[in-house]
Amino acid sequence: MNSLYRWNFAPVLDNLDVLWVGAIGTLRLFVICLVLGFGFGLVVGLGRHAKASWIHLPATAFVEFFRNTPVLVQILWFYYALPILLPFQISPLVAAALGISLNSAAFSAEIYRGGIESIDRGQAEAARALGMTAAQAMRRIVLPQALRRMLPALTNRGIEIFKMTTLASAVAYVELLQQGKLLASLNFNPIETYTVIAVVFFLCLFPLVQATYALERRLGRADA
Amino acid sequence: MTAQFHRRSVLALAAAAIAPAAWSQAASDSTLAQIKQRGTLRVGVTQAPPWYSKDPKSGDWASGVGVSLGKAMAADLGVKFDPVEVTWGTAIAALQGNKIDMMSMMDATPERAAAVDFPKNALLYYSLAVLARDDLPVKAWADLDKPSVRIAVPQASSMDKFLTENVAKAQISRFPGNAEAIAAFQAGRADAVCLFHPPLLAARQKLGAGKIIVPTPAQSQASSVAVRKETDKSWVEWVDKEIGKFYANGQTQKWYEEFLVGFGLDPKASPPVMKEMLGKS
Amino acid sequence: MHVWNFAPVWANADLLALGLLNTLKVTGAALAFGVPLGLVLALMRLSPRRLLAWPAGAVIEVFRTTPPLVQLFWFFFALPILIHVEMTPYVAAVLTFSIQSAAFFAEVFRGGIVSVERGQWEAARALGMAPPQVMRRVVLPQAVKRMIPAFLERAIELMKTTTLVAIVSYADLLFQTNEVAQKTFRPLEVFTVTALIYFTVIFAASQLVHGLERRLAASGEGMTR
Repeated sequence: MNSLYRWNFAPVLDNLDVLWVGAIGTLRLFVICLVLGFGFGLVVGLGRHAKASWIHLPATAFVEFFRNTPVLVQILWFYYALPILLPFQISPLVAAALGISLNSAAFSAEIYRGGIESIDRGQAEAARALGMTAAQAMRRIVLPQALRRMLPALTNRGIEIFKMTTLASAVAYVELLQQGKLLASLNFNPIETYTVIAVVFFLCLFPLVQATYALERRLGRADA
Repeated sequence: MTAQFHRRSVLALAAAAIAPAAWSQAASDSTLAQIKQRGTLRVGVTQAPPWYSKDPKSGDWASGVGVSLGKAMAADLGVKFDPVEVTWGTAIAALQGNKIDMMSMMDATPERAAAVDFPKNALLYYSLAVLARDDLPVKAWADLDKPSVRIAVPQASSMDKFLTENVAKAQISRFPGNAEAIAAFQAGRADAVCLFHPPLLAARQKLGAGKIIVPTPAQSQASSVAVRKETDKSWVEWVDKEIGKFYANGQTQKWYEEFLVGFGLDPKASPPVMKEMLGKS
Repeated sequence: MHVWNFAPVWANADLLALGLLNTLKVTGAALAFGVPLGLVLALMRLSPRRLLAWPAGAVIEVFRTTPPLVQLFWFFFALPILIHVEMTPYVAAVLTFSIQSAAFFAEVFRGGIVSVERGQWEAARALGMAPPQVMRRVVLPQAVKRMIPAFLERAIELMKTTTLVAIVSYADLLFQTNEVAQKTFRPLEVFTVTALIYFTVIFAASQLVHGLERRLAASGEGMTR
């Protein structure tokens, strides 16, 4: 009972191809949620920034609802509850993508809004005085500058999205953690399996996190 | 004002036109007809050897009694075998929601029978067993019925129901599936895990510790196949005939033994799935 | 057309209430341990001594860079085998989330401490205070006031993250939701009710936080962004 645990990574290393399939699944989900989350987030962020209340209010409701409910609950709702209302089926990928993207859209909407509103009003007015429409002013003057300021927060959000892909295992989507669970259940070696999974995630994310720090430092200097 | 009214009334008419059509379509087409029309048999699966097992390398649901049965039934119908992953706890809802056409290895409990249909024939018989810590004294179910005993079991399975009713004093931990329940035992979070022989045998082999007991009185459960409840009984009757046929000609038992061998287990070490063969070991 | 029927949900309201209570228990315990642990980690990280700074830095980086669900699985299924300790789901969950939130709190602490101007440090040292006294009497009190909004936001994040414990069979609200859904065969109604419960609780909490932020900003102590 008091013997030291004998680590044996052989069964895990034998099945690296199984984990590779999972990694592809993780990447696929990540890219989908990144694009949808940031894309729709921009729309909602602009909506939040808008003056007209029939745009502003639904956007606010969207942000408040999807920021204040846990992503796992949303994923399970899309997977188990929504198909009862719709005439077609929702696959694990769609359910997970919906849950993570909508949540990310809500968070990134606030980042966009903060970025847009941090740009001096004077810039937008000067652009209008030069004859640009509101949309052109947004596109050519405000957004490009705002983007630089928002980059650290957006990259942090991106890292969060990558970590959230593991939640898709709750609906049996084939990503890295799900493959790990399968291997651990067949080989009865949870210690080695989950250690390898953790290491893989760390190796993927650590360079990104470090790049984020470097980015923040560079932008901080440039802005000052 | 009029534009709004027109728009809303058009939408209302459209909804009224589509809704009853969609609803009546589902009610009139029997499952059997839908399967033949669609060309696929959607079989519910979940990682639970020896009934269903996924090959990790290919990602295919390639082995298990439930898988073999599903493939044979699809072949008999002349359609494709389409495995759809569910969990024991969500299989009933999946049937009701028309996500799957059948779920094998569901015991016909009265609560389930209120929500789904079961054929009259049994699919097979399995014996409830526990994999327990070596130092846990277990001979009968009563030995487990103590507050100091922690048992892991898959949530909403028939093992869960049996334990909840008969071993109520124990601390029962319910996990999403078979694998998590075994992992909990492995991690020392439970003193015993309740399943049936084959996965416990495999676990015992790999873990190198623990003992497999079939507590007395031995529970030999009949298991069945759950199908959606509908007024047209052609599907449930067809399933009834098929599983009766496979049981009687020993095919079900053969699939079971095939799986055990493929999993590296000795078929003689495990109780058979045919009641008639049970007394003979 | 699906016929909504919430009756089975109300019939099992006590199960859901128990789940909500357990969610709050885990969140509360993880906060109670995570905040002090985060402070310790932050101070270690800021220490000039590498023997302290390096391990703290490693713990913080590892727990911020790996997904919480992977951490939970590891603490739940792997750790108990390694150290031969039996842990209830509650203990394993609290352990995981204490360390995980501590890693994030550590960065909040560090940011707050670092944001207090060097001038304050130097003035306090000029007055003859030793470094630990400076930290305790001058820097930390000011840092903490600025960090309160960030803390509270982290705390709300934690409340959402703890839903993961449902996957390892701790009977929190999400787990109970699954139980009830599988018992009553009405996943739509049950999950909808649960989503609304989570929203109500978390929204109320974040409104409190926003109110607090506004008060702090008005008094000049908040961190404006």
